[in-house]
Amino acid sequence: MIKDQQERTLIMTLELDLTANNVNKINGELDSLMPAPGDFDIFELNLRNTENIDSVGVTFVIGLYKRIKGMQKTFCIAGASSDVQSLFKLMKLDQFFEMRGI
Amino acid sequence: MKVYENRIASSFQAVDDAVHIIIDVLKRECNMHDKHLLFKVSFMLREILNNAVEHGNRFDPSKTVYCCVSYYERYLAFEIEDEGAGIPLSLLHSNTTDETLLRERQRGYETIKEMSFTIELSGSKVYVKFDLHQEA
Repeated sequence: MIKDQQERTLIMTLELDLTANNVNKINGELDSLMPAPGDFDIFELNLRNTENIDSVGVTFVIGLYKRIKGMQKTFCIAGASSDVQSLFKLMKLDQFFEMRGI
Repeated sequence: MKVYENRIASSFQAVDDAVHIIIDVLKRECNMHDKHLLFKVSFMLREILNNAVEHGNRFDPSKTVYCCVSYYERYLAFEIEDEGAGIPLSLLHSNTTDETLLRERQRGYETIKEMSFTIELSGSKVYVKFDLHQEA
């Protein structure tokens, strides 16, 4: 996972597929890179390197959304392929967070 | 025409490895290169196989998941069988209130149906079909 920050936007870019076999590793990386809540206002999860996803990966995204929302911050997805965006729309998750395409 | 048949170990890593192999087979032997279709197939296989290793075989290393993929002119057919007690029908029921949209797990089968796959359950076997002509 690559961490970047542009002003008050924290950007976390995944380097792995968001699939069941990877989610534990991704969670560990996220915990080690997550700054204090006061250091950002927007959390962007960048999925430009994520080709495959499954429902365990979707569960990870929902859990992260809830975690960021619990910090009173804004959560968004960026860089997701059209297929991943379509999947989130099919699951009606686009009503909870913004999705920015490639 | 059967294009893939194997017994998969009861782990998420084995599922990931198998799905990559199946997608490669569909590209190479069935000349399927529609990335949107392959994304759907990948998602569907991961859902069914992950459920089989987690809820069916409960990650028991002594158990495996049978997976067979067949390619026909009009459709793709998948047969998956674990060594567990069977799949609860509740997994196939849809429920779309706001609260359930954010619930964590078990939406996979609903999503697969919405992707236009047909699913039939028989004990611990799952049969999935996908009509290739609907993609045309």
